[in-house]
Amino acid sequence: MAPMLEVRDLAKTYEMDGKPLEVLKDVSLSLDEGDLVALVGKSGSGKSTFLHVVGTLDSPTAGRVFFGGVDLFSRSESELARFRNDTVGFVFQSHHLLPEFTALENVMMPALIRRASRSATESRARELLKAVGLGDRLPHRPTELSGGEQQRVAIARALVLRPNLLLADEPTGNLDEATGEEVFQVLLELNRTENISAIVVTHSERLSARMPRRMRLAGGRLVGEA
Amino acid sequence: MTSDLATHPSTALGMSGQHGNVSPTAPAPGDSARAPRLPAPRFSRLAALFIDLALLLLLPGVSLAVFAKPMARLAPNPFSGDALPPARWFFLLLSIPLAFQVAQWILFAATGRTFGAAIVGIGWERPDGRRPGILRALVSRSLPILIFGSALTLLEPNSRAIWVRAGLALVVIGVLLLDALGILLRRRSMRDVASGLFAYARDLDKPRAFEAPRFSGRASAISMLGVLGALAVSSLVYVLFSHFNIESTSIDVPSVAAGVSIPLSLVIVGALAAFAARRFVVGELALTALLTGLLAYEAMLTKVVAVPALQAFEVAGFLDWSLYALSAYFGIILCLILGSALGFMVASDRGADASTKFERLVARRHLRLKLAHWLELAVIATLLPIVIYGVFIWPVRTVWRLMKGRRGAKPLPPTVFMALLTIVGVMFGVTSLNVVLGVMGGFERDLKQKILGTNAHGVVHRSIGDFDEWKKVEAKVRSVPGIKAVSPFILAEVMITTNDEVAGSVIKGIDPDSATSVTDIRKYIGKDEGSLTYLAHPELIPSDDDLPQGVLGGGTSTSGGSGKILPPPQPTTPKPVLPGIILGREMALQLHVWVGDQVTVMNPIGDLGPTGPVPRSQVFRVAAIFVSGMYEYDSKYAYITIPAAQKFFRMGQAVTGLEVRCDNPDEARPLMRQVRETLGGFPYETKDWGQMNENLFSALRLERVVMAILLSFQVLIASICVIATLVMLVVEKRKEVATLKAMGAREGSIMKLFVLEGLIIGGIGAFYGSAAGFLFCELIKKFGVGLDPQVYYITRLPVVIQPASFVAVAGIAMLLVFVATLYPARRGGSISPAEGFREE
Repeated sequence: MAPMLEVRDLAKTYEMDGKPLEVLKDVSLSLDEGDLVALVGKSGSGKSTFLHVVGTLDSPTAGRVFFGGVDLFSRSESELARFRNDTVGFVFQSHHLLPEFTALENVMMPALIRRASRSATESRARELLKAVGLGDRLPHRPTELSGGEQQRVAIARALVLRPNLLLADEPTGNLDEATGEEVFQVLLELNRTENISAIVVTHSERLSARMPRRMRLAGGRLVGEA
Repeated sequence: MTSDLATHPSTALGMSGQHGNVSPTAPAPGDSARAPRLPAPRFSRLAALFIDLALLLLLPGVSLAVFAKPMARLAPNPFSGDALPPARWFFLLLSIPLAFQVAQWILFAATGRTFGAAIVGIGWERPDGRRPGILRALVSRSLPILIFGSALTLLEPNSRAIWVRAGLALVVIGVLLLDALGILLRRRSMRDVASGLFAYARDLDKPRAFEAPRFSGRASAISMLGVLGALAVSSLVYVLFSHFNIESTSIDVPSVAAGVSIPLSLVIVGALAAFAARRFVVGELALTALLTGLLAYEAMLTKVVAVPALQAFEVAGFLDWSLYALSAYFGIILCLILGSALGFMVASDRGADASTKFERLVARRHLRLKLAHWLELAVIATLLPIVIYGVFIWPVRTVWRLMKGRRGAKPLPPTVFMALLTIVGVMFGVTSLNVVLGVMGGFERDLKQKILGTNAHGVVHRSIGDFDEWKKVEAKVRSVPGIKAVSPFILAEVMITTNDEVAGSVIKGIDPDSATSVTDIRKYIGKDEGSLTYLAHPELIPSDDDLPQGVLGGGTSTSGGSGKILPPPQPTTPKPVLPGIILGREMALQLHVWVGDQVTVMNPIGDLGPTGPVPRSQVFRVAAIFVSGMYEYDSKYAYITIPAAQKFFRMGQAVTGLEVRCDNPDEARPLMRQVRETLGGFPYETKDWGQMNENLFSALRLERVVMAILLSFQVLIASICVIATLVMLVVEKRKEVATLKAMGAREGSIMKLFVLEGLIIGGIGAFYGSAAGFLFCELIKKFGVGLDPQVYYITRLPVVIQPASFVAVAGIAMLLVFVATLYPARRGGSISPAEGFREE
């Protein structure tokens, strides 16, 4: 069976002051359902760009990304939007919560974008927020939450539509050890119970060591399973 | 959670059927291990076809129009005897390249260098996939047609446009036949051709994310054909409506329906084009606009050519005509763009998605809109009796409070402040537009009322000869259904003099009994200012001497110096009773006369005496004074009885015409037409009140239109504020747009969101503008603004509150705002997620 996600010869080049800056070079990767991959590497090694491209937030300069056998970048913008909505959950390094909305609404937003009914979504969002330990912070705006709390809201938001693929960029980076551990446990739990595949970018060797697969990016290249 | 939210990767994109095709394990041909860079945008074959077809339509016409005029001058007809020999040579020379071209076509088709398609133009895609030279294609396809078209015009220089069209159709058919011939020669079956065509149509213009948008031939074709279709639809609608004979007297239903159908169908066309390309197809629409413009220009030119008078360009009406054409043209473009914006916002990858649920939520939140605010604003705008407060103090206070922020929350971002200012701007525009239109409408209504009071709803004249048989005609007119009353009248210009004053006057002979049923004259005579009955019975007119007698309640009557002592019920005098006259109050004041006084009416066209014409004059007694409120009437008109007038003007039994009152003054025009038909037309003529006062009404209407246009600029400026606000909002929300996109919001969705934000701003502004306009109008109505009656006919500024005009103003404001939102919304929608995140 074909892998769920296949990245083939991915390259990404930015133009910087007229000179090409190669952020990713010939990155290939395949991921099966339920795979949990830790992506480690130094700052600037292209980890975030890799996640953006795999999540179709950015286009590759060369190479292809197949999901479920479909060449993603041959699809239209609105098809990709639906793909992100249905299939991908993002957790960003700096949360990117919508400041005008409460924690609950932020979590509900992907479902609202999908035009799901509000009531069904709300119960799911409450459940998720409770699961990440924020059951009592539902009506709070992001500015009224701590960094860790915001990060947990972001994780809940990424999971609200039960994505097949979770792309997490330093999900525990801004958290203290205990909270980070909690968040990490949530991830492992989800991976086990719902068979969600995930690519988790992390700096923490301790966390990456606990994941079944580890990849290391260096200078834009995948230098093998670390 | 319901199961519909759980998806499997294979169905995530809704394209499970295609797995086999693009599966990584079975790479498609050309799918090398190292995939090439994404191909550069390609000029679509369908687009080439489209341009080719358009050229086929346009170029000949344009060339025809440009060249036909000098050619027609050169040679009226090369085949007729009087043709100039050089022109004939010219024509022959032109046919040579044409023959070459025909030969080339056949050769191309036969050798298989063309694709062998059944439609001209497709041949420019070669089977080996090499790109054909577009320029070459254009030149070699259009040149022969251009020449042929010119030749056709030479043949029929004075023909109507239809001949030109027929000639062009022949050219097209000929070209098609030639291509068909090519197919036959190449022994290609029609099935091949059809499947080839189908393959072209199927896979073209497929949009891909992150690629520069390709020129969409489909969208262009849809919009181009759609514009033509819209015109066809409008003719169809016209025919349908005329056929079913839906009649209304005030509006021309078929024309209005046809007029409405054009913008509607254009909007639909724009939406379809955007839907086909899944894009806000500005480029394609621009092309369509260009081509339709050319087409219109061509049509115009051919028309000019077709009209024998080739100098039509110099005709004075040309400027007007081109202005109309230009505005219609911009209207077409606007409708297309509006439609395509709607289409793009609605087009999702799985059909239509017109929901605005989450977009509304985000938009409201961006603008910090809350139900409580709404209620507060509504209460302020509707309950506060002082509009000034609503217009000036409330916004300042609200903005101030919102700027400070409440309960320790962060102060509002500047964009919200700008949005509030924009609301105030839209509000001002809508308010002033409403008030001005209200006042203008009031003027018109007032004038109409006054005119209808003093004038009849219509008149019947006899264009030549004396109107002696008016009694018969009167009976006939009365029999027309819808006619309420008929009364004869005599109209003439006279001078009215007293001992020391002179006034020019229009004197009207009326039948006091029937005239009251035609005009409101009885109503205009005040209580102590005489009576209409005195007109028919001048002997009843109280004299100056009578008055004290009545007041004293007895004594002797010295009226007329008779000296007789008689009881009051019989105020007759031995002196011959003078006929009565009714004067307008302004004239009475000017002449210093009052009821009972004598005036001399002089007819400037009098008898012919031994020394030339001698004015005829007669003394009348003032029977009553009327006040219509129209200065023009009150200072000009005088009424006498018909017999008195007939005697004075020596008219025998004739009258000037008949006055008519209808059941409904608004239907006077068709009714008067009907009256005329009943009377058998000539020599009888009819006019309704609108025609009788054409100048006044058209001037007023023009003023109204100009004011509306000028004040619309205010709304336009407000909508420019909307642009500025939204651009700022888009910049401010870049990161959030990226976030929403990461969560799966489409570009169209984001555009929807910003359009909604603009519409909310405009909507609130329009709502409060309408409310404030309404209050202003009510205030003017209630407290009034004095006017100089000598200038304005009326004493107070009239206001009429027409719901339809309020709705129209709000509608125009919303439309302008909607157009204004498109650019910033489009920009917001096109923010790429990666770019949005990178900003930090």
